[in-house]
Amino acid sequence: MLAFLLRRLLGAVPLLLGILTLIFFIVHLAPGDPTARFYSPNVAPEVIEQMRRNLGLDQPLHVQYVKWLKSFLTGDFGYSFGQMRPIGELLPGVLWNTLQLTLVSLVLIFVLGMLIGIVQAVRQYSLADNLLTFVALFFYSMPTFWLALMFILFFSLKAQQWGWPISFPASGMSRVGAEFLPLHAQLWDRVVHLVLPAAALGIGSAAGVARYMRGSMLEVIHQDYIRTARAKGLGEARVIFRHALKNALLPVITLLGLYLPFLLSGAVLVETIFAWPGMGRLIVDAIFQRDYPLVMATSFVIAAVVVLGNLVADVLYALVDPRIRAE
Amino acid sequence: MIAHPFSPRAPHGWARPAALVLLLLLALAGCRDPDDARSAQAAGDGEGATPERGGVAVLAEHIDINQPMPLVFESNMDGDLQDVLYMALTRGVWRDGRLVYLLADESPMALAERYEYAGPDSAALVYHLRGDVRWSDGQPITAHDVVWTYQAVRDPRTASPRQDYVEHIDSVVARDDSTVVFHFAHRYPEMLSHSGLGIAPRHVYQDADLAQIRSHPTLVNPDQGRLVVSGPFQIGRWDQGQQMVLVPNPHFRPQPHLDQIVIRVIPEATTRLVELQTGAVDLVRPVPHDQIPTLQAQGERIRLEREEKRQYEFIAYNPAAFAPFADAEVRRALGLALDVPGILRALQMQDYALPAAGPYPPIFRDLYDPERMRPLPHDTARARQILAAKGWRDSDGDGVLDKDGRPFRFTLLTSAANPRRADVSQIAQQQWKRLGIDARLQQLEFNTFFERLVGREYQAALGGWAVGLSPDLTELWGEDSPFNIVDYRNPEVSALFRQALAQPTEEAANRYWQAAAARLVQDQPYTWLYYLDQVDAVSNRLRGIKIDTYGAYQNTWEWWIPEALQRGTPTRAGAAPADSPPSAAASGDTAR
Repeated sequence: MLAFLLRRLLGAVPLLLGILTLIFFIVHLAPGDPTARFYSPNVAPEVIEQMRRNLGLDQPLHVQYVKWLKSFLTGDFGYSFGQMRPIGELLPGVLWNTLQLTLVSLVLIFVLGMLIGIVQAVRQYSLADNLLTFVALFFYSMPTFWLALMFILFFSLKAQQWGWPISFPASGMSRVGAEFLPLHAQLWDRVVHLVLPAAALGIGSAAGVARYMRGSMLEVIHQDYIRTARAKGLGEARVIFRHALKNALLPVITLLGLYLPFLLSGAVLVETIFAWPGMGRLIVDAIFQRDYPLVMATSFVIAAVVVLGNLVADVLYALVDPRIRAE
Repeated sequence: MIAHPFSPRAPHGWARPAALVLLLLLALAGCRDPDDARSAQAAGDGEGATPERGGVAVLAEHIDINQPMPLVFESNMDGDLQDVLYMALTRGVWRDGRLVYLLADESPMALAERYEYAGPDSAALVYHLRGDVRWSDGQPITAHDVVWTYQAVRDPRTASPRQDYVEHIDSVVARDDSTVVFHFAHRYPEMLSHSGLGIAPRHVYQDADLAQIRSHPTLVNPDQGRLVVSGPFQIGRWDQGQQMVLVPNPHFRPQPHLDQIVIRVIPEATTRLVELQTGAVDLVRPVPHDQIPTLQAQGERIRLEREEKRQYEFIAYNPAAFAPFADAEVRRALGLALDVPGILRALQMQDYALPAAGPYPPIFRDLYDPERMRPLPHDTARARQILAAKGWRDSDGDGVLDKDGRPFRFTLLTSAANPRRADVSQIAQQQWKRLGIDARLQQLEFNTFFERLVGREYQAALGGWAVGLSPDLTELWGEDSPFNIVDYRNPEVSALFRQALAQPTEEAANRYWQAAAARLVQDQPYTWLYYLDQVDAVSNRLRGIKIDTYGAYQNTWEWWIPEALQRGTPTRAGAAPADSPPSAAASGDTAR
């Protein structure tokens, strides 16, 4: 197992370097320039030239590439052109913000999705199954940004106007002055702020997971060994959760591998709408500002998470399926 | 949004020669009629009410601060923050259609008590500074800070976007701690403006490498008062991309009424407005025009403030890329075909926009001339006549005019980031189609769009400019300017520009600018579409706020919130300040 992990990790190194090299040249060849934001009638071309020199953009592209590669390999992501601060200082905070959001919604996606899927499979063709199918398809087909806006409209604005017992904040990670609250109040404040964005981010995917879970569960439930398990007198819960679920998990694990990186980069819209200061917004801003070092650093993080996500999925396969372990 | 999101703007953009700035989505740059502001204030404040101490004002902006420093500030947001953080020799305000410079007796943000013109042709300005002002770290503010600031802006290593300020300045000399002399190359109208930069603290930056000034420790981590400032507030806390907390600068007089100003970054316009309606924020700018009716329905809780028509949108025609555009009459016909008032009604903008006639929006009292410069009427019959007289007819019956075998077909570019312009370009396409003109639409990402404009790689483009408060037209229409995106050349106009620039005073220059503008309008290098208001929304909690030409942040020390409406102000001890009511303090409105 350890050898397998090492092999996979080593294999990822050239892959990551290849991806980053490609991205480096693509962003540099894209039209526009980090100094373009200074381009205005009041700023002389010489000033722009000096800015380019200060940022090292006057050098040939291959020289810039070698320089970037050198500092990258020593773990230095450089300075963000847009925010003029070390990316190493900037990234961890933003990454943590995104992780809070995406991990919560990941849990939501899989716990909710799997539960619904199981219920649907066990009660196939029942009213509950049909109803859940309808609801799942509804949320699955709604665009995230629309859901996000509807959540804000109902659970923030209308909830307050109509005097519901609880309304959720529409934006940000914490309320103004939260840093002075006691720890438990700060935590609660964060949870309250997480509800809408995590739900908006996760609910569509949860519906997707539910569909997969239902299909895969149905397949397993009709197998002979399930009938055997029931025949030897096991309780229904044990049959479902112990015998059927474990075998029905494989396709869902594939989804997990796919969703991990999506959650980092796919949160752009949700982060923008809920003013959540995470990776998605950082990446988009960096691209629009042609903030090359920041684009490279964020691309690296995402590429690394893609590789890692696949690795995690592979390891989980092995855990649930002894046949894969044996190979 | 945002005048070009990264362009120098607001107070400091006003005065300088033609601070014309590309508009992206909703322009940020603002200005307003002072009467308007006063009346709004009176209505909102309850006239004569005495300001009460304490409270936290929460503002929602769509982008974060970038560079909170006078030498290098970049975006409109940075420009706004300059009004809060730094004093300058004089303080500009927009009064009755003119830019006026206030001294210390009228504005606590002005360093100078008085100034006088000196030298043989009055090409020097002598400023006398107040002696009682201090930086937020307690050091006195002196003439040497002024000298250092101008040296640093001039130094090419700084690569300061404010270098145009020092273009005509020969030297800046401190005669003593409280007297500073600006020597200009010649007398010209904008001497006061150009000596009005925000002043930076010399003692903090004098040993810094100017080429790396943007990553100076005080700028990377400006919070907890590390950034040394002179204005009413300093930076208490900065969570990048999230919020900036401003706290009073203990050395500024008069002391601000508020305990804190929190500037939150909320990129999505709808979310900003919901937060205003739920009471989580107190000021939102700008408000998209289509959201205004919703806010108006809120009644007295929210008042809408108008920043007056200083932006215009236009369609530019590039003759180099599409030969028929070389003819001024054809361009006029294209303009006549457009029903601008109809467009404004269709987009529900009629209350906040005015059909445009030329390069000077109506706020320029001395320059805007409604008699000489009228918007083109919507007159399709006349447009048809012109095109027919120029030999354009539909000879092959395909519905598109043609001439010498070539169809009247071109591509109209616009930036994808602006939904309003996408709508306008579609309406224009339809209205031209009735005349047999075939416009193809293309939307581009903003940077690419801008590059194509400045590179003159387009046939027609729908864009917008935010106009500086200086009358200078050369930045957009000068023969050598890269922002002359249609490559407009007219010797008569160029001669008028030269005469205008040679005048010592604004009054003398204005008639040349006006004549040049009138000639420009005759040539119709653009179809000027409309002048736009920016609309801001303010919660009724927040009083004393003055929003005018100088932006929304110009008098932060005068803002206040009635005690009964103050939210609990969190302090380090977790308690509310003594003067706030216990209920507001205890509720902690977690879910808001």
